[in-house]
Amino acid sequence: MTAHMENHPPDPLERTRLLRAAADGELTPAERRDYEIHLARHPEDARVVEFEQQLRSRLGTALTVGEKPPELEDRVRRIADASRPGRARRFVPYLVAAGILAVAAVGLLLALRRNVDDFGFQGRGKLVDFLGAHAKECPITIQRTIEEFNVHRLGEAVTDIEARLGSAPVLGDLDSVGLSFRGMGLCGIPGHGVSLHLQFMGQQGSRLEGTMLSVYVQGDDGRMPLVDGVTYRLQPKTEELASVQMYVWRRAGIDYFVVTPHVEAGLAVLASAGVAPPTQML
Amino acid sequence: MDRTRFLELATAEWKAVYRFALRLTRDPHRAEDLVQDVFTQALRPERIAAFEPRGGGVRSWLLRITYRAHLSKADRSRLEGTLFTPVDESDPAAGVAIEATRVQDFDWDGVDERLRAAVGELDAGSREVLMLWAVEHLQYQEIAGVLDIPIGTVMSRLHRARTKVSQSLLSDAEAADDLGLRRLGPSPTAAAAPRRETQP
Repeated sequence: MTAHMENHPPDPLERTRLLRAAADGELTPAERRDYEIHLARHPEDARVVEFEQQLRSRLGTALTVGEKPPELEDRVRRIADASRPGRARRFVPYLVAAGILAVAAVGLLLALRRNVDDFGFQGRGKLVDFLGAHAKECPITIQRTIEEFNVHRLGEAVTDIEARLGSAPVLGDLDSVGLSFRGMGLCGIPGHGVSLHLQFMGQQGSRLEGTMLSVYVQGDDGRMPLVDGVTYRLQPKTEELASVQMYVWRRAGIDYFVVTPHVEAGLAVLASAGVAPPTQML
Repeated sequence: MDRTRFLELATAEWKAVYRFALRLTRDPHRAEDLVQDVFTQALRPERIAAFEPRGGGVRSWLLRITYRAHLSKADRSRLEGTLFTPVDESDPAAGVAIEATRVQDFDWDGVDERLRAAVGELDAGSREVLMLWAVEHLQYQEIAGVLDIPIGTVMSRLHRARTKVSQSLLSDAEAADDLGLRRLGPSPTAAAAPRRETQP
């Protein structure tokens, strides 16, 4: 595709390649200019882009099948542990540390069980389903951005959240890690009060280009068993959501939920927000 | 990159590695063995130190190691007819464009089975590219790196694959619509229903 579309509209095949590259977040700067010119003249082609994005999303769901062996993750983690720096030094006080950890783990387990009972298994399931399905079912589209998100500047979003939840969210400079803010709207996390959905997309030319990432924030209503300063991973039970990464943490009265199919993007948000990588399952 | 952080990123990708290994080996036990081999090989300190995120991240790096480990372990004769199936570059699907009028208001309900059937009809080379694109969310350059093929080949195989899958979906929908068996687009009731999730 050349950059002379003002005088030479593309043939149907080139047009399809352009629209698909746009849907995939794979446009070069020259193609992006072509695309914007083309879309201005043929707004109906936004439907094709939307169709292609839906197709990718639905294929991802339909083709993710097969039970994963539950013990395989442990084996992989053992291999990783063997590679960790300082492993030999840790070996000497191993028994002492293991004893302390065992006692701490029992205490933590008891504490979490009490909290989990408050949170409820059913509540957790609904939360995972909602967060997983929301990411899969709501790909970023031009139409959706216009119709469903009523705040399009991050600064306004922060002010709005502070007004609603009483505290400003802390996410750091996500632009610098390659994620652009696309918009914010209200959303209803099951069983909770006001929550807001901030959507980000990987910037063109960055390593996260085309990546979708959602951040949900809600006020701490005391129902979630979260400890300030701890980052949790929510593990989907169903295969169709297996590739979705979900991280949760609480800070200064706000609960944060990060949802993305891209591990690197999720961890980049944690680093940007100044929270540790996940150490516990929720 | 700090090794501890690298290990966290890498181990978080075990499911993607297993999915890919399972598709390559078509056998859960061989897939598990392959995953172990991959992580044993990939997480050696000297290998981590040499990691460079060229054209992709940790996921595509691990998948590339998986693909190469599979090739080196597999009996080449058994691969005939699978990954090495030549792709017909003169396939008519390569020249098909998609029209806005055909995709408008396409009804996505219950398409999963049809998608799986349509993907099953693809040649193995195109299917592998499609899977890495749709399931593993890799970019064109990353897919080229994993499968060790030129990016142009990735783009042409992907274009052909999604055209065939789209044609299959749209022709089914139109055939059913012609027979009056299903309605395309939202019904007035559905259109008036409140949104389930994000609201402006």
